[in-house]
Amino acid sequence: MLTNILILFPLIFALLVRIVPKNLVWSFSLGASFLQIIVTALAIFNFMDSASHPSLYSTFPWIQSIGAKWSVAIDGLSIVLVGLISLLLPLVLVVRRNAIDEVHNLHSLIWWMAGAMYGVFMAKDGLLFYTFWEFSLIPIYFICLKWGDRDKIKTTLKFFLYTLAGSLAMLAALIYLYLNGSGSWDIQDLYQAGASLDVTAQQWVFWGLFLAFAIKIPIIPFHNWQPDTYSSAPLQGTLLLSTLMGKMGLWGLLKWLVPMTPLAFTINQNGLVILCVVSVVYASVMALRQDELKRLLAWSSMAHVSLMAAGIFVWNISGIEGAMQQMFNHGIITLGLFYCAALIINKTGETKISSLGGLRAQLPAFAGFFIWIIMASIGLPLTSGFPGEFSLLNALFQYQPLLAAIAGLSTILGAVYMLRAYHHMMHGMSKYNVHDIHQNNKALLAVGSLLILIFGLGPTLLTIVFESTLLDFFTPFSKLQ
Amino acid sequence: MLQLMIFGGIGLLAMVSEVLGFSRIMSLLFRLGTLVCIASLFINYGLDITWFGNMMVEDRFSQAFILTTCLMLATWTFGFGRKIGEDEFRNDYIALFSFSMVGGVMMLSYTNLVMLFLGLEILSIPLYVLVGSSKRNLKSNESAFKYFLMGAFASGIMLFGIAFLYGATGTFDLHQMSMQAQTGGSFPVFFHVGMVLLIFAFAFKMAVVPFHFWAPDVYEGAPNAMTVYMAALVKTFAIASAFRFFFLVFGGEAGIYSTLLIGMSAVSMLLGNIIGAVQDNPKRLLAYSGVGHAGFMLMAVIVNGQVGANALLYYSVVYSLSLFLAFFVLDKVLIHDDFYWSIGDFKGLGKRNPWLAMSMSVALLSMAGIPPLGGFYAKLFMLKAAFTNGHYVLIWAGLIGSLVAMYYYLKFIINMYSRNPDGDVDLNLTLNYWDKLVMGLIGSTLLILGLFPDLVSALIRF
Repeated sequence: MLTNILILFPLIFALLVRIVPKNLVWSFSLGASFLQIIVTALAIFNFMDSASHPSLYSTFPWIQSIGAKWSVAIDGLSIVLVGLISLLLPLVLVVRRNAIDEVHNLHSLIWWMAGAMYGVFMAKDGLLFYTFWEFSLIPIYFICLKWGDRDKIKTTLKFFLYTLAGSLAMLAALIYLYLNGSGSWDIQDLYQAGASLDVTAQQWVFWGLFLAFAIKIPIIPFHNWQPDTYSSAPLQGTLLLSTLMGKMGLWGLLKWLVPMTPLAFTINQNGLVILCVVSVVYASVMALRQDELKRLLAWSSMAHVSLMAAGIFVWNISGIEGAMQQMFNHGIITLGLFYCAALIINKTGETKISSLGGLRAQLPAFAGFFIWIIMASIGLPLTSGFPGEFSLLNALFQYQPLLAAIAGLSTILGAVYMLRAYHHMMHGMSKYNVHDIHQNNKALLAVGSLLILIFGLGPTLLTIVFESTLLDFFTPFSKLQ
Repeated sequence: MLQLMIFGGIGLLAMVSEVLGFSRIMSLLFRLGTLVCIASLFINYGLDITWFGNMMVEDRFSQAFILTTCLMLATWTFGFGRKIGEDEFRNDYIALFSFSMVGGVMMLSYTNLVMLFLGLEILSIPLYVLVGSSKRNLKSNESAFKYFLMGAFASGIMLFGIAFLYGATGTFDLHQMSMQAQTGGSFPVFFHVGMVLLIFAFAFKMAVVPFHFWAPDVYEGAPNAMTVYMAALVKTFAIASAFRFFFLVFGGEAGIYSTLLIGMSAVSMLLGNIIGAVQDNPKRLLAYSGVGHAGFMLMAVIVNGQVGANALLYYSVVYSLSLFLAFFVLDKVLIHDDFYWSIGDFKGLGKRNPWLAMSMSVALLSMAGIPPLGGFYAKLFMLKAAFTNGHYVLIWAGLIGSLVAMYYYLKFIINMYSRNPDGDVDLNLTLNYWDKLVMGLIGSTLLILGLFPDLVSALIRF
């Protein structure tokens, strides 16, 4: 029951927010997002109580003629991402309160997107998964198109066509799996159907699915849409894309790709891990060369998600655990980073790092939060960026020490480009005369920083939730590595 | 059969209504007649009844498709009937539409090639007139003339093909022809010639490549209500009748003719959409998109059997609804009457009238096949059917075609939502409640059909 509430409430809010009076939109959205947090908390309590609590799954017949079902469930893994959405939604909804016109439309689209993403992480039925996957694409497209910056038309078109190409490949792969299975779209049946295919067929299915997920994450060479879209999208759009939507791709790798086609995966594993590591290094180097703040963050985000993808492809407990941790923490950290970037750009009207300088003197409180979030992004111990990154590098090391060494470079490069950017923007001669940030912004940054501290000090808070589910999920497929 | 009489009767009544002085209630009669048709289908639902000495059979297939097309006609009247009703020649139009429906019903229930030809002619001739119904408009006349020339040519080809088939098999009756085909009797060469000609004639009516050249010109010139009638209903008639032919004669995949159909279907999906991507005139663009969709629907003819029929039913319902919605908006937006229409006319529609912009987005996204709108499941069922029979060429062509199509559907959406309207247009496009009702109902039907695709198959099923 809670699963259905989590998916359907946002979709209902998406309609309701259009009819509430304009001056109440913010309060309505905020209240609704707290309601979502309460429902999520309830789900977590139920889950900790018993992993197979009846409120955590629900199944109805949907399209009987082809055996598709409305089948959604929360398990230990999906609850991490469901929790992430619930946690970040209010933060995404409240940013830039006064700078947006047609707020109710924007909030409606954000709620729509949230409902679809809850669905993606909970779906246990292939067709339902695909439906939610595509369903989440429309609102983000409209958000970027309507509220984006100057290059929005070109970049959003590119973004949409890229992701749709991937989705169509995934659709073909899923239909093929379904037809070779027992006439049901259930994920377990699809696993069986996939495992029963011969190698060539598995390869086709594998690459079809991989294309969709790799574009969404994104990994080299499917990343072309990402920096442009991140930098031209409005702040809310960037936040949704970077913190939540990229995770859909990683989730796909974990749940819908590797277990689906075991043979093809074992054949391709080496290449894929190398591809991901190359992607990490490439994105880091590109970040190093950026002068535009949002682009730098986009590339840095890509470096991090590629590392998570590498962790999943290594396919050992440490790797997946690290990836799960990082998915959650990277969401919070990226939100903080893009939010800080938006504040700086908003205050100064300047998007280039080289033309900024000396902001620290005018924005002392902001500078404190900013450096803390940057430290988390670099992966400093005691911040939430550290434990996941450590597990990921550890997993890579177990797989192939050389690759771990190369991927480890990204941490160093990350420190270089992040700290250099900070140095350029915040230190030196003051060029601008700006007022310190508003109390609301401080509150928002404080929440983010606190979350970073909490999950940095107590990574077990997170692992305790998904550890046993992860073991259950991983054991049948443990031979793959 | 009852439907044949009803539509024929309405057509005759409409012709004499001016003289006998009941022209005012004619459009009401037409609407009622459509509803009576829908109701009358349930009298014999599921039974096989033969008419005209076994030349027409009312069977499950024809009932399902007549029901679908009558429902579409009802929706069409609901959306565009008012526009037709304002015209001084409205009763003539009603007569012509009724007669073309008679032809359509015949094309859906023939078991004899003579009936097929008669149906095709009865369907086509009223259409030639309807396309040119905007009498003082040069473009409309041009398109009517083009459609007439090409259509007459296609009818000739069909007749030629039927003659060849008769020569080869000695019968017009599809059951006997099928028996000869099943027993593996070897046909003379001109059986193949006849088949190819027949396929070409069907292809012309469906507007699949390489017989699509008339579609953009005719769609562009014809008044919107006629265009959408052609694009939605006539296309369904043509594809369903081709389906029926292959179903009755071959009972499934049609051997070497399938290869020909696969080629045409794949090329339509690719070429139709690629040419569509460079169009700027919305009506021409939708015509090319229609070529792509015809290619998609042709998949059902190729796969054939029950799976194909159900996929085709769902596809044609959803595609027609999307077209109705798109053309309804088009009709409101392209109000300047000079034929220099472009996608630019949609600039800033989101600001000018959010209702129109949203309806157009729903229609386009449904045609593009984005879940949870109906169009996605229509494509899904088609692709699934093609997958089952292992036609991977069609899958590839379908997916690439859909991707290309997305590009030009997005062009509309971009113009509507992120560009500002040109200076010289009226910023306020006003709509009355009826318009909003029409758009709201069709749009939500598309959504509901997507959320619960079983609804269609529960109602109409082969």
